[in-house]
Amino acid sequence: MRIIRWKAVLPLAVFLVLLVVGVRLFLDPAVRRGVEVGGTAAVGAKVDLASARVGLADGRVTLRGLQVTNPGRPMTNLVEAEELVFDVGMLPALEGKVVIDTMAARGLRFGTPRTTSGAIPRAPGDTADSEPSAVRKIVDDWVAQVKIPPLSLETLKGTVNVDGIRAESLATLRAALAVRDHADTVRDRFTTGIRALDPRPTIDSAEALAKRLQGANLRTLGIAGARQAVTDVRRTIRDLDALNDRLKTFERSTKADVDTMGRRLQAVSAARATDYAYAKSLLRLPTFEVPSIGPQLFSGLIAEKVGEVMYWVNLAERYVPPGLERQMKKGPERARASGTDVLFPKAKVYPDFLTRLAELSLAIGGEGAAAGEYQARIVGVTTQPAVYGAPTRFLVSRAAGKVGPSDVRITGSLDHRASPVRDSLAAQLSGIPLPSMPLAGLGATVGLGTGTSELRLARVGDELGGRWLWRSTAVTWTRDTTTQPRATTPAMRLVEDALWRAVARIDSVEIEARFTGSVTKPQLAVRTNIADAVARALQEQLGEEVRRAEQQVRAKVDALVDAKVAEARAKADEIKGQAEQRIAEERTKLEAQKAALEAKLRELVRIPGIG
Amino acid sequence: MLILKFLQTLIKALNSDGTPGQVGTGMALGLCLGLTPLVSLHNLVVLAIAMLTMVSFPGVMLGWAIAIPVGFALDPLFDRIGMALLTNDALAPFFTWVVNTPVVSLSRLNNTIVLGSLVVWLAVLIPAAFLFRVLVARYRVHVFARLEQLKLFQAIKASKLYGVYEMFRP
Repeated sequence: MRIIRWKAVLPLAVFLVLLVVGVRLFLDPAVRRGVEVGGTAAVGAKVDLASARVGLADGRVTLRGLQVTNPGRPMTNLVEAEELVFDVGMLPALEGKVVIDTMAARGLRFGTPRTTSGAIPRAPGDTADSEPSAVRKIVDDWVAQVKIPPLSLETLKGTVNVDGIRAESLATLRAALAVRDHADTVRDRFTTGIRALDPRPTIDSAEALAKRLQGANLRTLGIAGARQAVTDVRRTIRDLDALNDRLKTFERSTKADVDTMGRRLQAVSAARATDYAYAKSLLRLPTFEVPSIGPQLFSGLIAEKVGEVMYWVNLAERYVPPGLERQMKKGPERARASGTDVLFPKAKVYPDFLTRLAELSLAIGGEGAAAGEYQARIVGVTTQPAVYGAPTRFLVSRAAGKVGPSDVRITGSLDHRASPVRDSLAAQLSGIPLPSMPLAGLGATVGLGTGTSELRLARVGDELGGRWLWRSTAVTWTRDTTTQPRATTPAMRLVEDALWRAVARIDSVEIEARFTGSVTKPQLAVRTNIADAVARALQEQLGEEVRRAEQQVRAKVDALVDAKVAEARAKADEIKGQAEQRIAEERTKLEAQKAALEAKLRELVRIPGIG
Repeated sequence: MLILKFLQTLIKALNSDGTPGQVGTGMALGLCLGLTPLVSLHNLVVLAIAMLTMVSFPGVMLGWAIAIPVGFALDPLFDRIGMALLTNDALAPFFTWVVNTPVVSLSRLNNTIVLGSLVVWLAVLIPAAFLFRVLVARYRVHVFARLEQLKLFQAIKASKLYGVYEMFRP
């Protein structure tokens, strides 16, 4: 019987030829579609590509008309490129990997307007969280946490209303109730313990024996009676010692309970300080402390700007996971289920994606803040840094240009070879137009003019640390008289005018934002000479009024909590006193009986033949 | 039209000159095309084997047609099997080799659905070949004689596509 079907060889060969021709015909559109779909999924907004050309013979891939939408602003492109040329390694391609030896970009432009929105349309009812939107949420949460309410003078409009302070919101009351409940528990435990200890029978028995032997001697007891008496006295002393040991143990545990009660009482005092701060925050009284004023003026704006940087840092972590551990990602879209692709990174092989070297010449046209020519060099961009074995590094610097910044230098690295990941970024831009910053709550805007901006960011695992500095020596001030609500009372108008005069005198401004902590527990500190001026003006204008309002707040809190605190304290003191007194009484009796018996024992053992 | 083609394939496969063993083996091979994601490297190999060996090619088509809905329905099962294998530490060296070896890595065996469905197909390949062989033999004895009398049956068998089928007939 024949096994090979020879007459099918020709159709099979034709099929394979057709397959190759088909691949060649459809490869370019497939690459274009792949860039668009993959890029959109990675960025979280539309990525468009006009055309793609793949040279299979020389491994050269040319992409033209690339537009990457800014996920935060769908009508603006984050970057637009006229042409990108890649030299792709063909051997890694046989492993299904993309290794780009060199990359050259032409006509890169940033922040260009789009004709259509680049937002990703979502199907109705589609609540699935894609990775970029999950990252967006993390960053939004971060921004929400570091933002603090702006400086407000509203509370000084009239009399301070402390009715909004509710007893149930006060920590002191909760702490006092906890002390009371704990005192009940301590009393119950003490009562149960002393009942279980039951010292009376032992002490009474010792007392009875002591009485029986009072005045007794050899003559009244006889030899046998004296020996029996010594035995009884020794046994009773042992019982008293055992009772004493148990009493000491019980005393220690009771003391521990009482100490705990004492600590809880101390916590009540601490809670009161918290309540003062809480009640004060309800009234939103202005603060005169310089470190608090800076964040009140700028935290909103700075949080948004740092949030944009953090978005990209977090996105990089998602797509560039550290280590050689098995990794998982969603499988390809197809009619069948996508499943999960399990990746098995291995050192010293090709990573799934790698660009060894990218040299970019960027020309940003116009007269805008970033106009001019730049050069960028990026080394070792990869999705599997542990496989590649080196961090990704980049450098962007100013090349030429009559307009735009006088000097630009941006360097950084993403080291995701192992956990914890280490990312760093340092950017220094001189002679750039800085933004205008509204002073939250003050109804004024400072135009920073041309100045310097410095950003340093370091991230190790979840811990983030950074500093962003804006410095300008030629600022302009604008008083907002239209959108901000104006002062409604003469007193407030005086305060506002004083603040305006204080800040309008400043012609050189430095704003420094420092952010620390983790993504989930961030801290933002803002230092600025504007805050110094505002603090001084507020102190002069409002010092006395704020102090008065603070006194009213304290009085209200005290009125709400004093009775309960006193009750809790009295109960704790009473139980402590009862316990200590009862234990002392039992010990006194015990020691008295023991002393009497020991004296009698000494007397009896002196009798010859008894000891 | 598609239904007609399917019927024609079915009839020709079951009643061709091929032996029940050739039809059964073809059907078992064809299961792979339906059970596993179609655009996979291993399906190219299966197709080449089906075309170059004396198995019944209509049988392959029939097996493929039967397996398509089964493949879709069993995707969750394939996913579980694939995940269990891919996360098995003992097999990690093998899969590390697979995904880092030229050409072999194009098989996408590191995808849970591809791996799970391929493993299931390999497991059922030989039993399915025997089962189909028995079923085809019984069909030819008990059913074919009655069907041959039907005009519809004769019309389908006489259509132009029969010429193409002839090329691959065992």
